[in-house]
Order: sequence, then C-alpha cells, then structure tokens
Amino acid sequence: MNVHLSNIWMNMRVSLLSSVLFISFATLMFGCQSAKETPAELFFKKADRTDFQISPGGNSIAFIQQYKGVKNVFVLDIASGDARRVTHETSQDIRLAVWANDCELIYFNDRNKGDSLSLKTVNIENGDTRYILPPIASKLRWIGPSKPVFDEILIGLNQRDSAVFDIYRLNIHTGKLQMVEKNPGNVVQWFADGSGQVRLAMASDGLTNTILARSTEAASFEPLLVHDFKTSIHPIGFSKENKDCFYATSNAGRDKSALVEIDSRTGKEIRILFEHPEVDVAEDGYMLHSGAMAYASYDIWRAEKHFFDVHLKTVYKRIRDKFEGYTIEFLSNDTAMNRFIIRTYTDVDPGAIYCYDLNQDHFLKLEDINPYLEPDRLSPMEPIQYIARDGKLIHGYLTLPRNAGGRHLPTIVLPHNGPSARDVWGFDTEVQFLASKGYAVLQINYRGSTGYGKDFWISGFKQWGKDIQDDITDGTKWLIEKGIADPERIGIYGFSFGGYSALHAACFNADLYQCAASYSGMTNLYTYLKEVPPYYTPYLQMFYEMLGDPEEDADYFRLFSPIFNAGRVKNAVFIAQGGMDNRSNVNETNHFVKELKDNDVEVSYFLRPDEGHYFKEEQNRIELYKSLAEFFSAHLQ
Amino acid sequence: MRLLKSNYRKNFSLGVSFLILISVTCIIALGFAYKLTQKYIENEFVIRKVDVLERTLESYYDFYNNKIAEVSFYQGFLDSLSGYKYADSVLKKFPVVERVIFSDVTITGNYTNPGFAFNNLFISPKAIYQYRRGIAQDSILLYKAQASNGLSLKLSDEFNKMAVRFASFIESADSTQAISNHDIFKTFYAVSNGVISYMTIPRREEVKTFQEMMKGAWSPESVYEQDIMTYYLNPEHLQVENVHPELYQEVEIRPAFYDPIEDMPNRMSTEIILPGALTDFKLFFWSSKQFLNKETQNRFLPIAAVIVIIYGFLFTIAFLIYRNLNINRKMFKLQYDFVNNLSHEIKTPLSVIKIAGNNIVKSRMLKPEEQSFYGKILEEEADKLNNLLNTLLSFTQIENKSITLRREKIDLNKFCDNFINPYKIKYPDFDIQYSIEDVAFFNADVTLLTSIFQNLTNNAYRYSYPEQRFLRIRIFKVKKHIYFVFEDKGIGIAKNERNNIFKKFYRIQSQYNQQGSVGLGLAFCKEIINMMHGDITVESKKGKGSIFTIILPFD
Repeated sequence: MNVHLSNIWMNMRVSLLSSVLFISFATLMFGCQSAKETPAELFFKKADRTDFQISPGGNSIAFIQQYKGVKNVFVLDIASGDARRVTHETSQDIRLAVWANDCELIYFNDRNKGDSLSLKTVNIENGDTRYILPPIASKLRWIGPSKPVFDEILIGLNQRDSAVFDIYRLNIHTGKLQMVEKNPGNVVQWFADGSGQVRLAMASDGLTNTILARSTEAASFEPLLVHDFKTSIHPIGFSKENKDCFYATSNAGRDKSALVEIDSRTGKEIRILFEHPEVDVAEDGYMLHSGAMAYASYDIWRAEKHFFDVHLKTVYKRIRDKFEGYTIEFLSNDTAMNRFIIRTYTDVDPGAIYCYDLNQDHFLKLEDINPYLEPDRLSPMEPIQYIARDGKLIHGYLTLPRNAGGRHLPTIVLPHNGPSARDVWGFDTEVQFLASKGYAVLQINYRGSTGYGKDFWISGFKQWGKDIQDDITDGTKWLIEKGIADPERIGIYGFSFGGYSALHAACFNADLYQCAASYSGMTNLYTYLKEVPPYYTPYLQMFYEMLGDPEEDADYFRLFSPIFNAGRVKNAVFIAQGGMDNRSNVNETNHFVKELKDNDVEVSYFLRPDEGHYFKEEQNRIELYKSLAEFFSAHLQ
Repeated sequence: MRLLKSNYRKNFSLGVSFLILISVTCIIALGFAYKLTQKYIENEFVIRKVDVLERTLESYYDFYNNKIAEVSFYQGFLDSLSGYKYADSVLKKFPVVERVIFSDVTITGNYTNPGFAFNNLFISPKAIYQYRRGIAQDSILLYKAQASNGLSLKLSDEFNKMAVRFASFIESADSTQAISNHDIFKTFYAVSNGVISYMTIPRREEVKTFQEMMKGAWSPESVYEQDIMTYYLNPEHLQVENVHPELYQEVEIRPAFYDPIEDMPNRMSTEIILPGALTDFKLFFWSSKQFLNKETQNRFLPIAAVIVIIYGFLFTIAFLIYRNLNINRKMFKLQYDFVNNLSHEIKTPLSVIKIAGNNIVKSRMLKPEEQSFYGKILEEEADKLNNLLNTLLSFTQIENKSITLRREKIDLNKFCDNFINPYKIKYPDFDIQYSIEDVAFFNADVTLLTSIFQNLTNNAYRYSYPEQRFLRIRIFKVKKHIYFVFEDKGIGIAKNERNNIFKKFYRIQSQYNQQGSVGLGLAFCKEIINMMHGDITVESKKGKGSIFTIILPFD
C-alpha cells in the first residue's frame, strides 16, 4: 500500500520523464516503415536493451536484454566491443542487476504472486551464479546506496510482518543476513552514510512525516524534524565533508523546494546549496563515492543543471558541445569518473544511450532509443503560459504538427496524470504519436501540479472538477483565441486523472470538446478514495485534505464524479479500462458505459480484462493507441 | 341493320354482367375487410398490452437498473445526511417507491455491535434510517447501535437476508477476478414481493480483506463500511401510461388475484403480470364492445375508401371501353350507310340508263322526238354519275390536301347570276334570290366556291317543305371578312345534330334525303372552307329553317 500511495501522492516529482524513458525505449524489431504516417507500432514498441550500468572499474557495461523471450543480463567489454550473455534464465525475467564489484553482478528475478524471493550473483568471467540470499517468503526493498560497502549491502525485507519492511545487512560473499533495525511500522525510507551505517530514517503516517536520526548505529533513532505532508523534506545522502550533515531538498519555510544541507544533530539547515525562484529543485545529483552533491537539477521549461563539481561540469560541457540542444542525463559512471553512461534526447529525438570516455573524448553508442522515428518528421514542443480566470499563471506545452500551417488545427488537450505531477519538456511518445496524426497537442500544468512550489500544489487541493478543470478549460479557450485550435475540432484525452478530466469535460463541457477519451480515468471519487483501506487513518486524513471528506463533502463528491453525471454526456466518448484496475472499478465503468449507451451516446469501450490501471502488455498498448487514433479521426477530422 | 342491333345487345349484356361481377366483388371485399379489421383489432387488443407495460415500467426499470446501483457509487460512505439526500432523490423521482430503509452497516473482524456474524466476520448495522414522503424529522432514525433501544427482529429482517448472502459470497468469492454480473445480481440484489434490498458492492481488494477477516487472520481493528438500502414498493403508485388509448378504454393496476368476469359481461379484457418485485400486481386492461367496434370502424373506413376507389377506377375503365366500342360502332354504321347510299345513287341512274337502253333496243324505229328524249335521258343520267364521282374524287383530294387553290378575281354579281339562273329554270317552285352589299369582287377559286354554293343550295332545296322552297343568299363585307349567308325556311336541324352535320358520311335521318345523298356535302364544304382559312357556322330552328354563315378572309 505504501508503494501505491507514494506513486500517487508522495513522489513530488513523478516526472513524466521516467515514463517517457520507460515507454520510449522502443527499439524496433522490424524494419518496415510507411511512406507517410508512422504506425503506432513504431511509436510504442518497447526497447530490448535497458538498464545500462558501468562497472566500478569502468571496463564493462552490464545491461538487460531478452534471450529467448526471457530477460537476461549481458555484459559488454568496452575494450573489445564484445557483448556476452552472462545469466542463463529461461523462465523468469531478471528484474534488476547491479555491480557488486568488477567481476560480479548482484541480480534478482521478477516474481509471480507467491513466489519466494532470492538474490543471486553472477560472475561475468565464468558465468557462475550463486545465491547470496536463499529463497525466502518475503518481499524486497532496495535500500540505497545500491553499492556494496565493505562487501555488504542493505536491503529491506518484510519477513517479520508482511506490512512492514525491516532493514537488514547482507554480506555478498558469506550470505550472512543480519537485521540492522526493526521497523516500528511507520518508517518508509532508510538512509545510510558513506560507511554504510544506517543513520537516518523517514517515517510517515501520511499526514505527518518525521525524519529520525542518530549518530551511530549503536544509538537509537530520535525524531529530528516533524512536518505535515504539505511540507516536503527529502533526504538525499550524507555529506562526506561534514559527517553529521546530510543533503536534502526542503520546502520547509519556503515555497519552492531548495537543495539544502541539514545538521543531523540539530535538524537545522546549515546552508542552501541551490534554489530557484520559480521551480522546485529535484533530488538527483548526489555522488555516492565522493559523498557530495555534484549538481542540482531542476525543470523550468526544460531540464537544467547547476554544477557544484568542477570535474563533472567539464565533462558535461564536453558532452554538450557534441550534442548541442540536447538534454543530457547521467545514468551511471565508474569510480574514477572517467567513463559515463549518458542518455541524450530532445523533444523531437528520442535520443540514444552512449558511453562517454573522458580521457579519449570518445562516445560509444550503446543503444538508439527509437531509430525508426525521424526527428525531421516529428513535431517540436514549445513552452506556453497563460493567465487563468482568477489571475493565476499557468504553464504548459504546445506541440504543433509539422507542416500543418499552425492555425485552425484539430486539437487534443492532454491533461497529465496526478494531479501531483507535471509535464516536462522532452521526448513524449504519446504527444508525438498524436501530433503525427495531425493534431495540435496542448499539455497543461494546471494548479495542483508539482514542481512549481508548495502553494501552487496546495491550490489544487479539493479542486477536482473545480479550479483544476477551470485551468484546463481556460487553456483550451486561450488556444482557441490565439487562432491555433479550431473550436469545432477539439478533443480531450488523458490517463488516470487526465482521463477523469476528459470524462469531466464530457459531462460538463460538451460545448468546448467535440469528443473525450479516457484511459483508466476515475469515474468515481468515492471509489478512488476507497483505495486507501480504513486502517490507514492518517493517510485517509491526508486524502480527505487533498481530495475531500466523503461524508462531509458528499455533495462535492456526487457533483464531480462522472458516474453520477452520465446523463449529461452528449458527445462521443472513448473509454479504456483494465479489468483489474483498482482506482477505476471495472463494474462501475461498465455501468457508466451502459448508461451512456442507453442514452444513445456514441461510446468506444476498450476493455482489457487482464490489465490494471496502466496497461502493461505491449500489444494491448499498441491496440489502445490505434483505437484512440481511430476514435479521434472519426470525430475531429 | 339487324346485324348491328344484335351487336349492340351483346355489348350491353356483357357490360351488365361485368358491372354485376365487380359490384359483387366489391361488396364481398368490403365485408371481408370488415371481418379482418375486427379480428385485427381483437388481436391488437391482446398484443399491445406489452407496449403499455413497457412504458409504464420505464421508470421502474430506470430505478432498478440505475438508481439502485448508485448506492454502490458511494462506496459505503453514505451517512444520515447523504443517505437522506439519496433517498429523497429516489422518492421524488420514483412514485412507485413508498419507503426506503437505509442500514449504515459496519464490517469488522471482531464483535462491536449486535448484528450478523459468520466465523470472524461481523456484519452489524451502525444505524438504521427510514425515509418516506412527508415523514417527521424525529422518526427518521429507527435504530442506533449502542443506544438504549435494541434491534427488533422485524427491522433486521432484510438486513439479515443481505448479511447472509454477503457472507456466503465472501466465503466463496474469487478475489483475483472482477466481480461478475451474475454474482452482482445473485448477491447484492435481493428481490421479493414489494421489497428490493441492495448492498454496496465491495471492491476486489476489500473482498480479499473480508475473506481474511472471516478466517480470523485480520489483526487491525479496522471498520469497513457498507450500505444496505431496502426499498418498499407500492405498484399501485405506478403511473400507468396508456400508449394505446384507441385500444384500451381503461388500464388499471390490480392485485394479481383480481378477476372481474361477472361484473363485466359486455367488456373485453386482458391482463399482464408485473415483473420482479411488483409481481403481486398486474396491469388490467378493458374496453367495452362498443368502444372496440368504434375503433374497428375507424380503422375500416380508410380500407373501405381504398376498396371503393379501386372499384370506381374499374368502373371508369369499363365505361371508357364501352364508349370506345360505341364510337366504333357509329363509325361502322356511317360507313355502312355511305356504301348503301352510294350504291343507291349509282344504281338509280344505272337503272334509268338500262331502261332507256332496253327501250331503244326494243323499239324498231325511233321517232326523232323519242330519239332526242332517250338521248337526253342518257346524257342526264351519265352527267349525274359523272357529278357523283367527281364529288367523291374532289372530296378525297381536298381531304388529302392534294389540290391547290387557283385564285382568280370573281365578279360576284356575275357569279351569282350565273349560279342562280339554272336553278330558276330547273326548279320553278324554288324561290331563290341573292343580295350583295358593299362588295363587288372577291379573290377565290371559282370552282370550289361554286361547289360550296351548289351544296348549300341543294340542301336548301332538298330539306324544304314542298310548298315552301325558299333561299336567300346575302353577301356582305365586315372589316376584313366577307360573309356569305344562306337562309332557308326548311325543316331545320335539331340541336343535338348541329355538331354532326359537318362530319363525313353523316346524314340526318329524314324522309327528305332518302335519295341522292351520300352525306358528304357539308363535310366537303367545311373542308374547302378550312382550306381557305375560313369558317362555317349554322343557326337553326327545327321546323322553321336554317341559316348557314360562311366567313372567309377578304384577301
């Protein structure tokens, strides 16, 4: 449940980028390419080589690739350029592999329900595998740092109580498993210092977050900082320079999250490393081996980096010179900071993964994310902003289809999931797919989106169906006024909350949108709220504050849940639903669809009984986007 | 002539028998159509009740399929206030619902309140509310857990029913699958006579939790909320919508046992049992015989009209055929007459010639007077034949437009003198005179003009009483036309024959024309006048005389 919650609400920066990365590793198996329109298969195929990691010594690169339909670990020898498969899995995919040292990788497999957990290592020289954690009935939480310190790694296991994860120290040679700290029940995250000592913990009951600290593992944890869920203090890692201080992002006492250093003895902020007047600073940029922040990253209209580490800054400049205009991400590096695995991309180029060698100033291309998509034929993504009806400044992005003239276009408004998330600049497969079909695509970071500070986020609380939707409406109207959107051909589409927004528009804004498409959109706020079981009372309290109290605000729930308003829908609706979805209940969606059909509303219902909230099966996703494109072409062309 | 008469009789009997046949067919068709309509109405009376049922139950089905399921949308979050609002919206919209009982239910893993328990799953009402139209505020709450008054058996009846169903569903449910429609209707709807109970459908995750609770494997003391709504229905409050007022005089909702056969001997009735929770009642339909007869007539009238129209159409066609036959018959008669007359006309001079020839042959010696007498006879009769054939020939020519006009200047005085004088000599009893006013010359074909004069003059002479043979010819000019008026005091022409006299072969049936006429004279005149772009008209009074007026363009 914790995982779910953090997915929905807690991760302040559920950047779409990660999903973009996820989706757009679309390397293609087949080479046919139509002359005019790029087919959905080419956009949405998943990649087959992922999870590139360079070994500590910098001589080998491990990655995951399918072998006979099962994901296995491969290792590329940089000097010779040869890639070899080192694992021999034939039934279960390998989920994750990390370097234990220069010749061993630790990995574990995907598990089905009820399967036991085990951790194994594989020797890249001779392919020998051995258990370091023999099969046990437990779930695993990976605890940072994800590198062995003195041959030991930290893992979280829910062996003792299935509801809580205790922290253990596991010796990768002897397989000795030793409990470090018993979870009192509410700790959601643990942090170790550079020497592998667990000295920081984050506890949360949903409503209140507490940061606990101690000076050594021998001491007991004491509460250091207590704040409500609206304030976010997120530890990143301990400082090597000041052994008692740790880096964190924090918006305590300020609106925008800043990168700060906090004294673990007093809880005081001792300095602000970086802050930005407009946006929150993200949590990456920490270098484990140096125990310091190498850079701060943040998204204004596109991703930016502010460097503290001079060496890395030089590296970044060199890479930038080679890839002008590209956004660059560091994925992995060797201990000597000589070889780096990076990823490049722009809005019109899904980019590639390279291994950069600083000494030789050489780029080795490891993987094209999607070689079949031609940047020349994709559509640039431009930042936009407008003033909402109550004077709030709203940011967003507009992607105009190439060679369409840029005026009076059929338009799809694409509100992001969340609402606690934001759209960022970069390669977005969904957007590019829609633009390739000739639609202008408008993305809006409506109020309640994260990344623009605490106030902006909180201003979206209890505004489902109200101010949030008004922001989206205002954005659409703004685009019509600018003459870009053809008011007779506007559709709205989104996933999850975006889908809710689409259904809401279908119920209450039929004049503005000719059709609406929802992908796992919530039809019922009560059901969405019910995802939190009643024993998580504080979490429920948090939900009540963000979404509303189902008993006190019953009228609000009723008024703004699409399922109570099916009778208002007039225009065509597309609904994609997974049978196993918990946030949007299939029985309710069935009912909703039936009622629409009874009212002679044109409904395209894309039901996949085995899918959840997000469709995992590649074929289902491709079919979904094909049906979606058909739906829009029937109603917006 | 005899042949013709028998033809005519045959046509007549054929016509009559045809008329009788189609009239009888028409009457049979009408009768048959009436019977069919009657049967049809009786049939409709039985069949159409389904339409009424459907319309009447539209709101019930809306309630059953949509409004009840709405309880689930609240996911157990209904409380006294939102429960009241929901129940109020039900009572306002659906008159068939008389009372709503709302049990706010908690599901726990251990005992909290009185209720239903199965193993470690405790299902108990937290509070029970009732709602009905016009209920006082203080009687809404029926039961509250931990309050002094206990939970009565009567009150907990529907609750227990749902709890048992729910527990048995939880016991065997497959929480890895979405709940099927079959399970939903089997478990979460309880339908009995006049009562429907419905329980919130739990989410998949909750089913799993409840299963663990049941096993006793659930430690947290958490309280799950579910709602049970019980609706008491009164079918008598259904609003009957008689969508066929033409068939059903009255549609009523009656208890299922209602049977009024003795009360209504003269009425037709049918019924249909209400479905689902309303099954204790039925829709009862009745109409009086007169009412249905009236409807039968209403439906029969347009059918009858169509049949009559078809009959009329047949009749018209028959009449047209008959008229055509009649005209043909008349044409045939005219030609027959013509041939008859013509042969007579030819035969008379021929027999005179034959007698003269015979006499000449028989007498040994002809005296000079005899010789001249026979010669004259022979010449005259030959002239007659010649004239007759000339007339025929020129008529044919004119009709075929194969002669051309040879116009020349005619001195009208001279022309008239030349024309009249022979008549005066030939027929001393014929009072014939002419007058000419304002005109001396006229351009025309002199032969044709003579023909016209001859025909009209001959007619005037022929159709006159012997003591009163009279003709006045007047010629005058009005503007650009020249008028020739022939006025006689003859037998006149009947009104109905005036239009026919200019037709070919037409002769007035009269004693005056038994000889020497083929019925071409006036037709010939008219053809000539038409050729000269003129016109001929006639005014006449039977027994008083006729006036023929010829108008020809001057120049």
